[in-house]
Formats: sequence, C-alpha cells, structure tokens
Amino acid sequence: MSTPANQRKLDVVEELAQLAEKSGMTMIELALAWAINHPGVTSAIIGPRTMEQLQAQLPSVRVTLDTEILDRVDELVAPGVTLNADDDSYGAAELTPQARRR
Amino acid sequence: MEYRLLGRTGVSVSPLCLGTMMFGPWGNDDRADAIRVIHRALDAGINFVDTADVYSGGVSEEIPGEALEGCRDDVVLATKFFMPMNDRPNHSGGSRKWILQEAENSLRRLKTDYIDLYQVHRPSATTDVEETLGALTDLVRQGKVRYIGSSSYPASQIVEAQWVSRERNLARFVTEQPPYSILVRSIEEDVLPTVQRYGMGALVYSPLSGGWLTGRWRRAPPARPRQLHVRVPAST
Repeated sequence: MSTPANQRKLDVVEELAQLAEKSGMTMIELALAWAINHPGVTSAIIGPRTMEQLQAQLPSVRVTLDTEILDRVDELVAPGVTLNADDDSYGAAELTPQARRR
Repeated sequence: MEYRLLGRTGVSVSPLCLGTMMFGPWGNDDRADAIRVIHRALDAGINFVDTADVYSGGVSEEIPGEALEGCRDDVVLATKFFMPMNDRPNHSGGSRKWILQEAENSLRRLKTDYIDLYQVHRPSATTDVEETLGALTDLVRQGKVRYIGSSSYPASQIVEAQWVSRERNLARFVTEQPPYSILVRSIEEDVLPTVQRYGMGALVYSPLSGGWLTGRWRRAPPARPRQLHVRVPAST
C-alpha cells in the first residue's frame, strides 16, 4: 500500500469518489457503468460475496455517463494507462528471471 | 435489463456477468446464502455466469451448478481450465490430456451436460495453441462445449489463435476475458481493438479493481469538526 503506484491509486480513488458523489451516483455505479460503456466491452464480471454487494452493483446497468464525467475520468487516468503494472497479468509468463538473463 | 450480443455468436448476454469466485471457502462459504445471491442476480435479469475450476478448489463451480438446476438452459454458463488443480503433473495447463479430463470434472461439478463458454485461463508459454484448440474443438463436436474463449491473452496471441483456427479448420476463440477498470486501462490500446477487429466478445474481469473502486478504501477524510453527538442516541 505504501508503494508510489498505490499511493497514486489512493489519490485517484479519492478524486473518483468525489466525482461520483457530485454526479449523484456511487463509486461502484460509476466504475461498472464506465467499464460496460466501452464499445469493445460486452459484459463486466462482478464478483459479489454478499447480497448487499450484489444489490450495490445491479443499478449500474441503468447509469449513463455524460461527456463531462468521461472527460474527468480520462484526466485522472489517461486512456490506455494502468496505474500499477502489478494489477494486470500481462508479461507474467514472459518477464521471468530466466528471460531477464538471470 | 438490456442484452448485448456476445461477439458474432448470436447469443445475447447481460452487460453484467455474475462471477462466482467469491462463493465457496475463498469467500462466502454459506452455500444457501450464495445460492440466494445467484437467484437474486438471475431475477434482476443477469443471464451470464462465469466461474473457473480452480476457484475454491472447485466449490465455485458446484454452487452455481446447484443454483442453476431447473433454469440451466436460460443461462450462458462460462468456466475455465488451465490453472493447477493440485501438485500433480498434468493436472494443469492446455494439453489435450488435461483439457479432456478437466472438462468432465467441470461438467460434474456444474451438474450439467454442457458448458456454454469454455475458456483457457491463461496463455501457455509451453503448449502449442494448436494442441489446445484441437482438444477444445473436439469438446465442441462432442456437444460438451458450445463456444470457446481465452483469458488474459495479449493481442499477439489472440491474433495467433485466430490464425491457427482458420488454418487448421478448428473452432475459434469467440471471446477474450481481460482485466479492465478505471485504474487498469492497458487493454484499451491493443487487446480491445484486436478483440473488436475479430468480432469477439469481451467479458472483463475486476471492473472494481479488486475492491479499490468500491469506496471502501479511502484516505482518511480531512479533519472535520467532531460531531460525536449525532451518533449518540437521544437519552430517554
């Protein structure tokens, strides 16, 4: 949590929380609506553990995001950018120690 | 619920797909409660359910298997193979030997005789994609699997798999399952455009970035006047 990448994520999450609040939605609704809004995305996989979590996620299918919200998200995290490279699995099989001459 | 076409398959799915990784010992170990959550999702219009053999050692397949008895055909049921199920050699990966064995295990745990979408959990550095596609094609021809897909494939391997399918007349991956959230946007550059170019569906995982986007993790709020009194019930 103390790494610079995670600190940056905490800052962004704070801004996203404020954006969601200002836009009259929860951060969960903002995040899910944003994911299923991309023309290349068919579905977003939710992973609720409890009924309460599911109930908080379902309303996202009815949320529309205006250009102002989308622009603000792009300002916080630019298109194509992953804030912490550890958060996706790309390269896991390629950037092994042996492949790095070790 | 608005439904969307899953790539060019002609199958319609809900924009939210219910992942069951949190049902079982890894998360909610109360089966009855987990089944209630699944039924609530179906009642809300979700018709797309995704799991994997490896989650909770198979329990995450058993729970939806139980929940979907009686409505199995109305759901697009997706699962995966590839991750090690134990320490034994050949109980993981993309070999024909393991795929044909593990598909039977998944069918049994899911209490069904077909899987709608059978996905390779990760690309393999050691197995020819032709071997994997060949075994998956046989499962499709046997009627045990309807469609096949990949997960966490980089764009180059998505392209390679499409070409091998075409060249060898094998079933092709019709979906890809990549990670995607506001905090994890790398697929926008290459993976998503490639998926779109091949008319594939994309079911994205961790759209809440493992809980980062739930509002649960926040920096301490700025100092505010303490208002403890509002939390104390009025004395009677």
